Amino acid sequence: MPAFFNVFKKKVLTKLPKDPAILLSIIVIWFFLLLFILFPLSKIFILTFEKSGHFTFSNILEILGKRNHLQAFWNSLLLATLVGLSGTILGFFFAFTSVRANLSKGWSKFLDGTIILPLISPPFTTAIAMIFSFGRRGLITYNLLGINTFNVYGLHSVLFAETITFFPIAYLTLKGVLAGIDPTVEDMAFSLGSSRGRVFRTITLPLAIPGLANSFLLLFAASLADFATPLILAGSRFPVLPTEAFLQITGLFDIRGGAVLSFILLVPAFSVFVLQRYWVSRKYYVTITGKAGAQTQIKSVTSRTGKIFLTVCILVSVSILYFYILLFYASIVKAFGANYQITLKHYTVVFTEGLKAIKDTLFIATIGMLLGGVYGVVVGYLVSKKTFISRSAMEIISMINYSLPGTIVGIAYLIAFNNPPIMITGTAIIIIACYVFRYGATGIRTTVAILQQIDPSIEEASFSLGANATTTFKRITIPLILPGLFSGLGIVFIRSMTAISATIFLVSINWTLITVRILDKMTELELGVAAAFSTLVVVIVFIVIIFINLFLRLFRGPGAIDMSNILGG
Amino acid sequence: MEAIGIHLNNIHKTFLHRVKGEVKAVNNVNLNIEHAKLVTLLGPSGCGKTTTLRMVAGFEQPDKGTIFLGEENVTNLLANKRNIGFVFQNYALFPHLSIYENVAYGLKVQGISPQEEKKRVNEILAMVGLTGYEAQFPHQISGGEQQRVALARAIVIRPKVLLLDEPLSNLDAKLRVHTRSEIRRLQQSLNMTSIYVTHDQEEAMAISDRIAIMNKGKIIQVGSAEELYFQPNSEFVAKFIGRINSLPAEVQEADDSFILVKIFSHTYKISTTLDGIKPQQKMNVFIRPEFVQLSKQAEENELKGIITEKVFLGEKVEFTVDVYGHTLNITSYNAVESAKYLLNQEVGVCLAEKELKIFTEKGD
Repeated sequence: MPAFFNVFKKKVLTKLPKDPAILLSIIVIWFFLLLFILFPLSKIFILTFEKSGHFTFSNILEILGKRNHLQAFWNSLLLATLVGLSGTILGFFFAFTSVRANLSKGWSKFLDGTIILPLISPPFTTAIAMIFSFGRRGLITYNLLGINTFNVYGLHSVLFAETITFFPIAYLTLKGVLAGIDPTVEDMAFSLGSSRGRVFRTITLPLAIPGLANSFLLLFAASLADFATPLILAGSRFPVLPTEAFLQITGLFDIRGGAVLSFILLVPAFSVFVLQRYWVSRKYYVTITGKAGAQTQIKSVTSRTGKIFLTVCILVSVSILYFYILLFYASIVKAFGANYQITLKHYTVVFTEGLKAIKDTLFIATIGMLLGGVYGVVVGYLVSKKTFISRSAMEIISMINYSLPGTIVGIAYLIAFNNPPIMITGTAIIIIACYVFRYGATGIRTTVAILQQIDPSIEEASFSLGANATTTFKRITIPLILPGLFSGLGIVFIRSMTAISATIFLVSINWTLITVRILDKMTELELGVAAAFSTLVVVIVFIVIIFINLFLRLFRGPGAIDMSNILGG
Repeated sequence: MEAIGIHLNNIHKTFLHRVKGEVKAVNNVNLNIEHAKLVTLLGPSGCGKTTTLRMVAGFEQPDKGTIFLGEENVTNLLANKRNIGFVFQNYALFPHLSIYENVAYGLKVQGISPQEEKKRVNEILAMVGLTGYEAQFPHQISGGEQQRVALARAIVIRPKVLLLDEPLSNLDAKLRVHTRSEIRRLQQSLNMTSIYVTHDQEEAMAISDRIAIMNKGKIIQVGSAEELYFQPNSEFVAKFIGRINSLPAEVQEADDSFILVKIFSHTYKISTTLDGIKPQQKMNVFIRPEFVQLSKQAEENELKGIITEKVFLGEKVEFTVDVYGHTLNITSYNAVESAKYLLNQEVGVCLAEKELKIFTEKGD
């Protein structure tokens, strides 16, 4: 025993932090991680692999035995692959134009501005606009082209809507990659006699390949997790896993079936997560340069090709803008498609009948933002600044709920917190907890990123001057990360405003959300009200973003808002 | 302020390196620093000097050994309980605090009254010549000024000991010379026991009471600059402090107090008390460039060589001479005499016999 104890002492006790405040925070964080991440997830596993007390595969086989479910699995993979490809191609085209076509500042700002729209919108926006444009009485199909046989439901529409919604992720990823390729490397290839096409083929494209792979995986995961678009646009002939799981639970009240379906969704989602995190993200080329090269005129494309590229990009951007104008228009006419008389009646509905949803959403988003912020800072600080046993486990586990499709997280919470010991279904707590442990991860990432820029010696300086860990954290670390943290908080808020895939399982009569009301209004075919709600969310989100930018400008802090984190989920 | 000593006893520290595996960063270091003295840890990069300093500060924990500040064993004490002043290589100023707030930080932590705080901050800012900078922020002042803020911040809390980690390496050459005498002046006027880490031997010689030469995690020799230069205990120290020539030799006779060695054509007598040297043994003999002299014609007790390089440096001239296929560096401080010697000239080379050194320790 003493020998064992000595080993224990050496391996475990000596690695425990000496500062009691740190030790306490680690214990508290682990308690929450176990309760709100691992415990719910384990419930999905249990429901999937357990039948009358035994381990079994029969639940999975049973679900996959149904043609519809198996179809949904393949459909999900097909859709995700197609969205990954088309979104990456479109994103690369935009990124290349933006970085390598010598755009004027104005155009570059215009592209950046329109491209973030889909990222900060409520989930149904593109889908609703698609129906307004291409539906039976659609503005384009019916009013413009006179077709009334076009079927807006199915793979083609989901693919189109998801590509528009998610390609900005590819754009932001690839823009960083392309901007990181030193143009002098391309200059070198030119000087060795290569043509523009050859330079692109042999230098630019190969250097961007890890970025392309990363972008593909990000889009694949985003599409796999997307719940809102297929719910509206897929129709009955193109089922996908998240919507099937939703219908299994809300339509058939089959919680086990929903759990099994979400487990099946978890398999590709987890593979992509692992691939992205441990393989692609380590494959980036580092362009080796000596001193920062002299400014060089970028010569990747002729000015004529550049103009053509820019025109294409502007056309795409304009059609995104068109969707938003259409959405707003639909919210102020009596009945889109039939009666185009201007009215405010949809907004009257929003601010009377819908007022509770607005209040609830703002309340939950605000509380979620504050708690998520505290959680994000503490975990981010611990994992990046402290060494303790279980540190890397904490880092990975804190990212799980963020990385998994919302449907899985929602179903897991529904199962886990419906019964004693913790019965919080139907309360605001369950929705807030869901937001904190899902979107708080963006707070962790922001904190880690900022802390990496702060030299460790700054904290050591504080220690050497007699300050303990708590004082140092309060007086040095927090003030330094505050500006960046604030933008992280804004992201948590925005995502709380626009989320649906997880929370749709968690709302109740007592607590409901705007996004859920949008879905209700869609199914009740009150499209005008749905459009009005959506417009409201876009406006609120815009106000938040303007506020964050003002704040950042005021404090000139590091870490401008990272739009790639605002992915409607 | 009462100065106290610093005592390191059998300090060991091993790091886990991703590629190299376990690396002994500090290997059985013993060092005693008397109160109010400044000792420099000098050595090539990666020799363990910064790790040693960081263990004294409490930023790292030794695997084995004890650290005493005065009578107190601080080995297991947190950094914030040790009452030390630390000056970082990159200064580590708090970027969000003004110069005044940076310097006042440690005093605020101690809970000193606002009046006393103000008085002490102003006093120390005056001492480092930064009166009037109180409201500025770190990014608004020059590198040299930042350095002085870092110093002021470290000493305003009246630490028991002052630790400086390459504090001058981010300054340009001229400012470096100026600032190091400032640091020395402050250290002496405040009677602070200090450890100073650098890899610059000139800096070390200029600022220290004593220098500890480190290599591969060990202290090779501790002594004053003169001791290290004139009586190095190993080949490493001889080569690290100043320049030295190495010549192949064969022992002809070994006695208790001297040995006779043959270097090329001549035999030299070297006084030594080193043990274990036997006749017929081959070894290297060392001599500093300023103890080798040139002559127009090789006398009987001189070696013959050809000048292959001549560099005029103002107060001195450096020659490179080929002696039987071996390169010998020679420094002459006699400009008039040196003018007589030309490139490719055949010359006599005279080694000052009492300056020849031999080592049985390599030191690495």
